[in-house]
Amino acid sequence: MSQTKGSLSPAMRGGIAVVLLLGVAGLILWLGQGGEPVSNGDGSKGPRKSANTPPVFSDSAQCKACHESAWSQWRASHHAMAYTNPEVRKLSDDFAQKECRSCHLPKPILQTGAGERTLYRQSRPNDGVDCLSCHLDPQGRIAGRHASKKGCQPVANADIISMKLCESCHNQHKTTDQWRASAYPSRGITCNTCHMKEVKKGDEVVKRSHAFAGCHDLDTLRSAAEFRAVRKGDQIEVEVENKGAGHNFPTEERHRAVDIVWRIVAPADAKKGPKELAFERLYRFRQPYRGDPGPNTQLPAEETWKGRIDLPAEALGKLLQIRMIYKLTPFLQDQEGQLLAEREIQL
Amino acid sequence: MAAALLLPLFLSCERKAPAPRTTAGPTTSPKPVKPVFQGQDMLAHWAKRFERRPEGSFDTPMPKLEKKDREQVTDQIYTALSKGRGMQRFAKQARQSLLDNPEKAIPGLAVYLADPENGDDAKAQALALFAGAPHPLLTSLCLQHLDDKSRLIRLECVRRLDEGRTLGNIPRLLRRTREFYEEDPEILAAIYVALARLGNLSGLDNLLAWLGRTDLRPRVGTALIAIVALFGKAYEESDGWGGLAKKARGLLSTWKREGQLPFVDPAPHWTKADRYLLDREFWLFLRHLSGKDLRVVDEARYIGEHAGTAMVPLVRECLRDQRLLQRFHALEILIALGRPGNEAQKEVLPLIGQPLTRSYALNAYGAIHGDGALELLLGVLRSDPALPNRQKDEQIAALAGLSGLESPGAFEFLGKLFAREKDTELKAWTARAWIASARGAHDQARAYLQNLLETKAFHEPTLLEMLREADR
Repeated sequence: MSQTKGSLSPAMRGGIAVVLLLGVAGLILWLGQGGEPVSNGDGSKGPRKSANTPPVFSDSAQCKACHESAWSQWRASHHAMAYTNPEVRKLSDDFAQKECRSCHLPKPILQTGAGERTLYRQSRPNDGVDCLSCHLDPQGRIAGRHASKKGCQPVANADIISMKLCESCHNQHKTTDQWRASAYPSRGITCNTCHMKEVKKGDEVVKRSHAFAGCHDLDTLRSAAEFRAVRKGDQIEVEVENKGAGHNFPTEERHRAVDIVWRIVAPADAKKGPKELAFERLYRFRQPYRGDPGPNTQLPAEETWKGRIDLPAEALGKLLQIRMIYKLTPFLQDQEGQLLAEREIQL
Repeated sequence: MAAALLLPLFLSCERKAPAPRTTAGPTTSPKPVKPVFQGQDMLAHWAKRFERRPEGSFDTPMPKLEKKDREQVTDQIYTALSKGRGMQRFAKQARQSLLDNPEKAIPGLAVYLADPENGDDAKAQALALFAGAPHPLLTSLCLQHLDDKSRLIRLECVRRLDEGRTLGNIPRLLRRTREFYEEDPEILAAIYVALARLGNLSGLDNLLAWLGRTDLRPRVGTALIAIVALFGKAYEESDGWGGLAKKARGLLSTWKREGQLPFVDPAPHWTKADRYLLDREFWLFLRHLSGKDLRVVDEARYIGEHAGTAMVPLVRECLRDQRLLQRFHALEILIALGRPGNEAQKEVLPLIGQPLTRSYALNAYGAIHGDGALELLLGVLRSDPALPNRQKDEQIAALAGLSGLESPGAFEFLGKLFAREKDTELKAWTARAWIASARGAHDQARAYLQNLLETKAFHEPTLLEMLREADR
């Protein structure tokens, strides 16, 4: 076998290679000890990185490894299904109305600017408004309330707990403007107070709910307004007071409505459903579509609406039933809406 | 540790021969200079540029008439609309008086239309009095009444605008064609003809679709005949509906590809003033792209997507604006516009270097068939797979751009990418791009075969069979 000038023999080369390979293995081990494992988004932990290498975030599934509870709450929430929700798909004609995409599948809001209009992203359509939509900052770091060197190494960002983050998407239909016009800002009550309730351990607030309870949560809906009906002579005085919502009731998209309906029934018919014995509508709270007739009747925060039912003479001895029903679209039948409150008055 | 660092040295123990010297010049091409984006306040610039409000604009205020002139014009309109047999001579005279004095008659007509005492029928007939007598003030008035709730009034407005044939009509006529806006097929057909006479063929899709409906065919057919004749494809009786549809489809594919079509003689002559009016009318929408009213934003986007090349100059200016949302929506318009937006590539390139606009700009650059788009987009996809997934948007954007490009040159690469891609989302986008590049290959190959057939450059029966297979 010929050898070129300056080369080593195969045996010597092999020996040196073994020694050096052992050194390389040691180097990898040494480097590997410094960093935290990073989730790969499929439940497994990713390759170890050094403590000096910032983690990379590309998918909300990465958050699940350490934030299982918050992640699970989000996953079941309407934020997660913002781009797949059949109701939204129907109303936007499967997002043929392109202006809907920016809020239902947003790029990280901190990158486009908290309080500014969002831009839409093209990836991860099944995740809708996900963890990264709110928590990824322009430098690709995780933004949180507090900074930490552990886990995802979040940096503190005041915008995370400010109204501005919500405003980017939820003021398209003027919800945060409604809040601003109310007395709630002066009392320090923000979106988070009601929609991301505190989770405490003893007296300490350890985290906030990521279920984002809103109009799809019956308890939240019921807490928004107080419903009263009192008989005064030949009339029933009805009141709806927006006591618990820091914005109009209902708010957000124009298709949402709250109906006040009533009927007078014989006591024996009290249990019959609206299909069998229809209710009559006394009032509807709703902002109409552009071009549709009628004013905006949404009830602003801390305001009270009063209505009246004149009792017919033949009502004596019967039962008056009056209901407050929330409807995701105004075309739903009464029985398809959410029953928020009901009163019965014996006449 | 030192051993590990020295490992590569020991493993490659044979000395390499030095690279041969050459006397040739540099062997590497110069590094391309990264285009730099510099934002300008285009809205402020536009506000100054479009300060002048010419007659014929949507927002031209009607001159105020003195009371006696107002009453006189109103009387003339009432007289002109008279149906009584004995009144016909006076009706004719009254109409002539109106037409002889448009500077007073049209403001008077505006007052008449605004009066709730007058019925919709009467208002529509009042508009019809001005048939065949286009005037800039009448154009302004009709643009303002295009959304009237009465279909009769809307129809007359469209007819007057068609007669006026002002370039500045395009944006607002286009707006009316948006879904759920104008739902009356007769009015829509009239709008499509009016647009075609202004060089815009965005309505052909719908007209062709309606040709299949027996209830609409008589009206649609007339509209299509009028449109194809504008561009040198006069309808002959032997064509029938099928032949007419084929001529219209040919025009449509050229429109989609080029965004404009040459008129036959006599071609309309657009002046600088016409162009100014058109740009101003586009500006009335485009200035709101970064605004809060999403409905208006979407209208502007829709108009841009259907305007063909007419809107591209202003869209290019939008791409230079300092506001992110102006640039973003301008890119969206280009993505939908496709190749007719090709002139905007110089403005799109710097936006590829901007983090927030990068993905949309990549998509747009492919859609408008920018120079070197194929290499650029393939380059994004060839980048290191270990790059963070947060650039997935860019990979998807590159694939979307390749879909718009429809380049056969991407076919092989995309096929390999499709075979090896494990991420479902990326694989789906790759599939779409792959189909598009195959379509591009199909179109290119078919055009070649068709050309051979038409120039008799090859064996005819063989070519016919090849084309039949290609069309299967």
